[in-house]
Amino acid sequence: MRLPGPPAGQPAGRGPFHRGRSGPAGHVPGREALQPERTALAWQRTAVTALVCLVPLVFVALRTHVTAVAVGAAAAMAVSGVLVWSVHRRLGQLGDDTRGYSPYTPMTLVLAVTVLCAVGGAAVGVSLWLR
Amino acid sequence: MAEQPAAHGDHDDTRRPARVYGVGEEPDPRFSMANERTALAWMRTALALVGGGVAVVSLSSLAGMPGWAPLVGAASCLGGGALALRSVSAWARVERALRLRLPLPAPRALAMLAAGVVALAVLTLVLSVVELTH
Repeated sequence: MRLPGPPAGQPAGRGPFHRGRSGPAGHVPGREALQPERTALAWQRTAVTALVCLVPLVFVALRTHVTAVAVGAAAAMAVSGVLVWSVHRRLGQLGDDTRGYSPYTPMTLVLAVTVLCAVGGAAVGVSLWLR
Repeated sequence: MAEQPAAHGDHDDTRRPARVYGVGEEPDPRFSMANERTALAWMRTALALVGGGVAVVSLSSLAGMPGWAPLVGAASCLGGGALALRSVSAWARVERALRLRLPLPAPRALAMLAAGVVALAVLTLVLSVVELTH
């Protein structure tokens, strides 16, 4: 996907989604119709949800002394850290960056966190049931 | 689905995955963003299932809930994990269809999700009734 670039003579990277740079909204003609704000918010909601899901998993893994799940949860937290960085990069891409981009990398990171949480939760559930 | 060559100078496209960005033409960015948001909404639904499952497992370890409760939580977790995998593959399929100007694939995951949630609810209800009557 390639977004329309800024007007001629205007530097890229000054859109409303570039942190610390206060370019006016609607800088680029027609850019509002692309709804990058909705997409950015969707990414932020997803990143926050992925992080919040880990909290009870870490809690229950520590409480039930399931070491493998505790290790998995720690790995998921590390992936979450990368995810936060990756989402921040994605928000920049949704700004005035005209280069082609793909949401695949952050999406696979969310997938990794979700699958780690799922496997960890299922492992703890089965181990509790077997006790 | 027939493989089509890249068009409009996309031969040197280094974006991943290549099976999506290596074919067809660049679609309207609004459609790609809508596809991305849809995939994220599915991912959040998957995370909700996983979070709910982990919460049930957590509660069952804390409050002396019925013995089957951890299994219901585990099932919810596994369903959420499967849905997350499905959401990424569905994003790739839709993006590829957009680039190739093909009809969009049918949203089969919606029916699967509904069936899974109903099955989980019925299982929980039946086990609760059995627990109460014994």
